[in-house]
Amino acid sequence: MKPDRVLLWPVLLLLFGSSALALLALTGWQQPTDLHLWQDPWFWQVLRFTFWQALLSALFSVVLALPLARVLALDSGLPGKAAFLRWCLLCFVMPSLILITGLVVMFGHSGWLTPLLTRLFHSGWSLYGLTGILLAHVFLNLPLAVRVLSAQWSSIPSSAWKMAAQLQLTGFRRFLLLEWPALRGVLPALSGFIFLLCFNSFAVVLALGGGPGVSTLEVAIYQALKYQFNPSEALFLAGVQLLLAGGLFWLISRWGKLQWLAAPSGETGWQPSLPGVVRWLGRGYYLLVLLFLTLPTLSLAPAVISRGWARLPWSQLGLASGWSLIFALAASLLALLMALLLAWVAAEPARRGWSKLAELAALHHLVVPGMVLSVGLYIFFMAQINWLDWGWVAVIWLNALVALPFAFSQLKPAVFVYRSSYQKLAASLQLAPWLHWQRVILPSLQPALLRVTGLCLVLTLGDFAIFGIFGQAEHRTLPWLIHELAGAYRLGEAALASLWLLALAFTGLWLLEKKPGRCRAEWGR
Amino acid sequence: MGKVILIMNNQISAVLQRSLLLLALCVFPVSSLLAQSSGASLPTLNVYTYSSFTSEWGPGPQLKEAFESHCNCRVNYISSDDGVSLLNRLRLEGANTRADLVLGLDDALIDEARQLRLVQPHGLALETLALKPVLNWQDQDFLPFDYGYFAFIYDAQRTPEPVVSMAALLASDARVIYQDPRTSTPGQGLLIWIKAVYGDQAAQAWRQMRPRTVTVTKGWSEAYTLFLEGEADYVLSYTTSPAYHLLVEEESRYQAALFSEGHPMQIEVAAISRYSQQADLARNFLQFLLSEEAQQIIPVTNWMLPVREGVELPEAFDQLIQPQAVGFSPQQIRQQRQTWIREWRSAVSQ
Repeated sequence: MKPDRVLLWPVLLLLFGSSALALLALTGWQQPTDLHLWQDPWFWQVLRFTFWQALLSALFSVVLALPLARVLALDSGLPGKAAFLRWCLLCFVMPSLILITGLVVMFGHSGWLTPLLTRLFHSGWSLYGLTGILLAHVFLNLPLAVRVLSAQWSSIPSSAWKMAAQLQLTGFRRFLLLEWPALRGVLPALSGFIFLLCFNSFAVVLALGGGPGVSTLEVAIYQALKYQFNPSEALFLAGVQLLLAGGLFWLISRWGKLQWLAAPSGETGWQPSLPGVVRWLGRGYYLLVLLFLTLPTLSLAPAVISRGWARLPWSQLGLASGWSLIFALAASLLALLMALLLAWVAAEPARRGWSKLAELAALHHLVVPGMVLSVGLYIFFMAQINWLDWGWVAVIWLNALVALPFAFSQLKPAVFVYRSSYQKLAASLQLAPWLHWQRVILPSLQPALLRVTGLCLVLTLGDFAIFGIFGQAEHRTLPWLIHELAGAYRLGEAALASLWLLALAFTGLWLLEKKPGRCRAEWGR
Repeated sequence: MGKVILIMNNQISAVLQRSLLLLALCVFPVSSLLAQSSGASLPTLNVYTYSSFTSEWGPGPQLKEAFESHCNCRVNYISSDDGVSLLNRLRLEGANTRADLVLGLDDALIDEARQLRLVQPHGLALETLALKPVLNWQDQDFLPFDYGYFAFIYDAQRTPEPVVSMAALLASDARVIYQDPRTSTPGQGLLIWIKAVYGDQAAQAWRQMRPRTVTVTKGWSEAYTLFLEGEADYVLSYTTSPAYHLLVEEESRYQAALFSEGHPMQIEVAAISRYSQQADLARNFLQFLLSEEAQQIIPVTNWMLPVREGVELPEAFDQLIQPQAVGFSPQQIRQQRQTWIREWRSAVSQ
């Protein structure tokens, strides 16, 4: 038996088992599934709105990201590129308190952009409503799209660019024949992904939506599970979400095919130089997006620091940061290893059944609401496991599950490329499996692995809900500390602690993404 | 190919290496702290409560220290993110619970907790506890440890002449932020408030509230932050909020508006778990919670009012408004909540 198969079984068992047990535990709880919501017109209204805002958010995020991704990939002289991409990842997991306050400081009733906007829009400007939701969702998801797309753009090998230059392909024709095929593989999945994230969005929608007329299905799930404790209704809603959002995601992902079979060069080789006008337009756009993504946070910083600095509990902050990092790193590593294994299996063309199964195992956690999963597992193992002592295991495992779909979808193209271009060559060397992994596979996947680790790290650093169920007060994490601060009127300190969380994540990313050369000098052999 | 492999080998996959290094860096300081947390073999009192109670700024740490100084025991807090999560945790755990004392449910949740048979009688004689008459407390299972009134907070610098009634607020052109009654207790408080004041006309009142509403937030902190950023003239909070600003920030601009129709009350309660192994110790803690000492700690850390008569408090508490109480019994709230939420929802989303 091959080594990947030996590991595959337990992983598949754990992944599907977790979801199955969680759902089972909730199904067995008291009443049978509650169907009255079908008849409630409010339910349909919510569903319609959830769809509509998610669709618009996904569309705006991806379309606005496209030109910027191209600029980032092709303009080699762009200043601050690495830091910008790192910041992008942070925006993606910006704590909602910071995001909401930041947007309000800029676009709100007394925001400093509002006088300008009021003059611009004759009907009057109001942040609250669809406008606010879209602004926030684009803020959260455009950066993700930028990262994914620019990585895709830079994966076009220099040989292909050279060939295009020799064939005198320019402008639109080059885009169509060279660049579009590289993007086509990820665009549907990316849009589907963002759609799903916005479909599940909750706190932002409530705060900036302006009222319960605009709420999402997730509010209903939250309410059913948390405030009424009606697991059957929650299950029904989760089922609807699974069916609709999952179905749509599946449909969209099917359009995408991994077309690009050449190996990514890794190092930036030769790329065409952009014509002057395009380059400067691109830089202007870059600046604009940069301002949009940083100003809400930056304009918050001075007030927050002046208000919160003196009374911030530094020792607690340090301790909470330590726990946050431990949980996040452990969960990220776990997610990374599982994603690697599943992507490896999924990218095997000869075994289509297995490949589909692996994909399902990795991605289905995207549509199983985290709350359903956590509460279900909590109930199921309650009699056997003392969660007071072992809750931390669940915190790590469930965070890994939440990060897994992201890790998987980011890792799969790289693994796919490796398997289709190097696999046979490497096999001819007849290395022992371990040596093969260590010497060939891991190094060649390194850029993708680093990217994915960063993403997982940031995602798991921000976890609040899972810790809320399984965590213990003495292992308090940063988001939890922020929640406590915010609940005790210490809103300035809470905002400052949120900024600290961002800074921590930024540093983590910086350490992970340092250029391999410099890393070798410091830690390598 | 051999050369390629050699080069790759040199930059051996740094992912695991660097992650492990990061992990090691932060395990070190934390593990040293872990070592000291294992206590001696004193009896342990497990107190289930909500997180802002146990945070460094909440009453938890001070109460723990005071109680441990004479109980010859160890107090162990287990916190959920709020009172509702606390009830759910108890409901999930059932007979497997490790709770000895349940602290932080509010009067709207009492009826549900009792029906689920999660608690046992406190066994204390109510007439000896010097509880405030306004609470009119008769319950044999739950004991109140603090209470407060919901109120709209305004900024006296921006709103020098605040509204004096709910009717005036609805008729004004003020901008209001409140919390979603489906996800937050103050939001539920407003639901009760409107129902208590307007009865059958509640839907009409909500429709009047709608154009006044800037937004409805998931929880208290988002709403209060938006208000402090100047997004609204009034925000739904507690009558005690100004005391925090006065005492901690020495800021007197934030005031609570006194409404002539009265204000709904929120009473926070504690009870002994039905499955407690330490019922006597838990009873002692309840008794302590109502002592003069504890009742002095709670108002300036939990920002609620003491339930005991004659507790000496900082001057800021004397300046708070003293509203009339309106509202419903816990039974009525539990039975009607869903109907009221539906009424609110359809009135404000049209």
